[in-house]
Amino acid sequence: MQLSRTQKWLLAIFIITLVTRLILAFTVPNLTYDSYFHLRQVEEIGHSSIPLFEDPLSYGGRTLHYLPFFHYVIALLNLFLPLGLLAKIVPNVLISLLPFIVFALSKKISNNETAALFSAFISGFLPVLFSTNAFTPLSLFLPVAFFALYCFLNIDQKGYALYFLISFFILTVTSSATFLIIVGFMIYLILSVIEKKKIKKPELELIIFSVFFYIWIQFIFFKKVLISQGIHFIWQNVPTQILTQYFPQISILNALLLVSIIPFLAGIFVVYQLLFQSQNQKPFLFISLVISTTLLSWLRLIEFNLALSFFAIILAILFSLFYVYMLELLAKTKISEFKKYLTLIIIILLLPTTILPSINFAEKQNTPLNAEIDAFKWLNENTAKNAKIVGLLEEGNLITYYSQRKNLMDDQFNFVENSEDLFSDLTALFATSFETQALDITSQHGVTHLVLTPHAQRKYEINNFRYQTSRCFKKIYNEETKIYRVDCILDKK
Amino acid sequence: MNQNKNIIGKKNPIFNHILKEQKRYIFGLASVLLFLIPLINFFKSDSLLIGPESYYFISHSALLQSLTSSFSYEVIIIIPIILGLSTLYLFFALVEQMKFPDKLTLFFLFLLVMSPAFIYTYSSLTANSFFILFVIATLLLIMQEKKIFTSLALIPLILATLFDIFSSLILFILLIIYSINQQKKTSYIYLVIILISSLIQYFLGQPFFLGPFHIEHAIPDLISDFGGLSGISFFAILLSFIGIMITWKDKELYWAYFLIPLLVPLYFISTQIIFPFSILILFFAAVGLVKLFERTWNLIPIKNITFFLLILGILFSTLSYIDRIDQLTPSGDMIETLTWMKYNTVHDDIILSDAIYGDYIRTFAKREPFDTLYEKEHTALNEELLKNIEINKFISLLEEQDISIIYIPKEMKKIYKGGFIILLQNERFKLIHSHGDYEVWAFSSKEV
Repeated sequence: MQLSRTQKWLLAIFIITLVTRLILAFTVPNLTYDSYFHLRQVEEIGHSSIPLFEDPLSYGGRTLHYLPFFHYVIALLNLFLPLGLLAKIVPNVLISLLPFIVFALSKKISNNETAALFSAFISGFLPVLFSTNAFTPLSLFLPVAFFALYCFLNIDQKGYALYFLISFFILTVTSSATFLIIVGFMIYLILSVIEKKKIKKPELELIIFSVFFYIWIQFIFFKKVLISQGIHFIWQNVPTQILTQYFPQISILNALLLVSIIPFLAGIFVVYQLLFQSQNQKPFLFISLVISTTLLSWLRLIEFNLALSFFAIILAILFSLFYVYMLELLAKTKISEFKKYLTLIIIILLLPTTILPSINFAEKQNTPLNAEIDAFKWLNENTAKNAKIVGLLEEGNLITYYSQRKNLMDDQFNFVENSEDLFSDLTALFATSFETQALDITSQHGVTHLVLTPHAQRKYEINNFRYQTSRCFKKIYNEETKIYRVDCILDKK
Repeated sequence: MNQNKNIIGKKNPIFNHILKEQKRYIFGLASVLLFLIPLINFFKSDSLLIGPESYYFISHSALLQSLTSSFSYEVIIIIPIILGLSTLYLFFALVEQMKFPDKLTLFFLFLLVMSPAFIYTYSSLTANSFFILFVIATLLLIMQEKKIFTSLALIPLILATLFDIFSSLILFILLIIYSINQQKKTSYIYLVIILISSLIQYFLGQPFFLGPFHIEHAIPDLISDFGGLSGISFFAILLSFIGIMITWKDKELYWAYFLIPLLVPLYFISTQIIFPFSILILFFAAVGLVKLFERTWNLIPIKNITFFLLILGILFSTLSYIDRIDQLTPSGDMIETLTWMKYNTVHDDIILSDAIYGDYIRTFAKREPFDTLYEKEHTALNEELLKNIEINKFISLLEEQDISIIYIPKEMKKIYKGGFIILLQNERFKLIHSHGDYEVWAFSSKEV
């Protein structure tokens, strides 16, 4: 089979993206903190074939509901390859598929292969997507979401309705963030009515189906959460003290760095052009998605990282329109011969503003050190099965995964009645100077061990717990990470 | 060709059969649901009557109290069930009279009967259950040709105005809409009587809205899937949006559009009007459903799957509501504890508890609660007491208000664990009874 020049370029982009990602994934030690939750779920599915909805370790034992499709897929692959390897390879392969989808989408809206290639390249090197060591459902969600959108745009062609249904099904059972697309569809309908764009019948039918199907799946999986938390389930019961971490206010500087400056500026320009000046209705769906992402992020209804990732990919797609617009603009001016240099200029601009920030972002991922992992493994071999261990909030998943012991708290807040109180207690254990306060908390929650990792030492600027005495807190592991056994119980009487 | 495949078309034999026999099916469905609720509560040893409003009426109505003293108060469950089935019967008569399209009637009543708002209203004693019956009876009688019937309409009309000012307002508007819609001149006497009745009630101190009987939350009270006391399915809400959008310019439905701007703001003031509000939303939902599936779809399998999903979604909301019905009912343990108070405390004891338990205390313990949700006299003081953590202040407030008994259900222990609960360790408080997670504490005043 003879590949065309464009196809060769596209393949090259894919290979470069994948190789870069894999090199970084294997260079940076371990996985990001939240990945260990998903690793544990995959292992559980591997053992018992059902997700761990009744978790005996998290929060000392709790009910947990999540969408398990991603975990089932990995568990299936785990039959052939070890999980440690899969956790680094699969997410990176999935994200590396994005340039193919972005190319197809960009070509669809711009009718220009060079422009589409630029978009594909940008999507391969978006800094915000360079969490190469993250093992989360987001890596499956993003390519499938954009594939579903591609199918939606090609709904008139045979077979695409079925592809859309399959991909939409995968999305709804992978992540609740599919809400982003549903809201995007709604805005698309509104924009179409305002701009008097004729909505195709199959488009409307698929939108109606998608809305009902999405809600139905959410109700099935999250029925209890909905009833117990009502509308607040959208905020995932995140303690207010750390709400800003999950839904931070968007800073333009941050957004510029993570989305990459050139596509960001080009994207804003294109959105403005399409909304207020141009009659081109083809990219309406993407404009709608930009609005829905911005709106939901502003309302703190979706996580910042997800919103930015989605936003960045759409901007990469819209960059193709910017390129075409620039070509047309130059052709109309006296410097039309300058047109042939446009491609070169864009390459020169893109290389330092995408690849370098991406690599920098990947190197700065928040992952535990090997020494920390060793300490959590040590706990597994040297503590009683019913021990309850306290680490930082983000280390909660390491306690359940490596130590296989109960934790006081981790980042899965749903169904936890008193997450705010627990977070205050957890913070107090690291910050307090008073032994009685610490003992009060450990006694109240039945905590048996405290872990002080280098990460925690940096965060709280301490080398040891300030209240620590050898009588009540015996140091039983003294490496870079320190582990203390709690030997006293505070009797309130 | 597409029409042949229409899932709700007359050529679909199953749908056609259901459409023809809709009266039987709707009655059957309603009967199953309304009898299922007391049956579930019976097997869970909970009270058969759900919802706090039931206990408001039992504790305030001499007739009901004499009924409960002669029989068990559980007998009262038959009243809302009869009201529910009678309302449905009259409704069928009304739509026949008004020549409503049969598909719309079927889907509207299906959505209504399946809605938690209907189940709640007719599994408990509520003002809405009486009000809707009287409204339909009034309209039905007014529509009759014979004068005797139109005169008889005055009886349900007057009865319908007796609950609160809001009920009179709705009835007034409905009669105006009816006379415009049917191009019939409605006798002004009806309107004048409603006005007079409302004015009399206003001067007698009747509230604009009855209640509240539970802590109101606009969203969960509207969407049952978010854990409200009643409400409707989220799917029905979405369908109603579709219904509103599709029929926006339909002149025949202007009356329904007229009610939207009236009921929406009033609902946010008091969710007590959820049932009439639900009826309006479900009407639009039925319109949306019929219009959506009567139109020709390009993707026929998607149409069928979507219809199936919708029915499943509505079924899901109903089942999930029934599944948690015991949470809306006073538990056996609660009734035991309150009944204990009736026999073991002094008749003029005033009981401190959360305002939401006021009518349960009146019904089962036959004692006077310090506060209820709808009597605002002691609300601020009650809250101050329950959130108090200063023992001296707490004791002096109890003495000032002559409170001698504290009733603490399990939910209160959680809510006020950082409040007055910690003060009960003081020697002047004594646990005098506990059953399950329900406790009764006595407070000994200084004088004793």
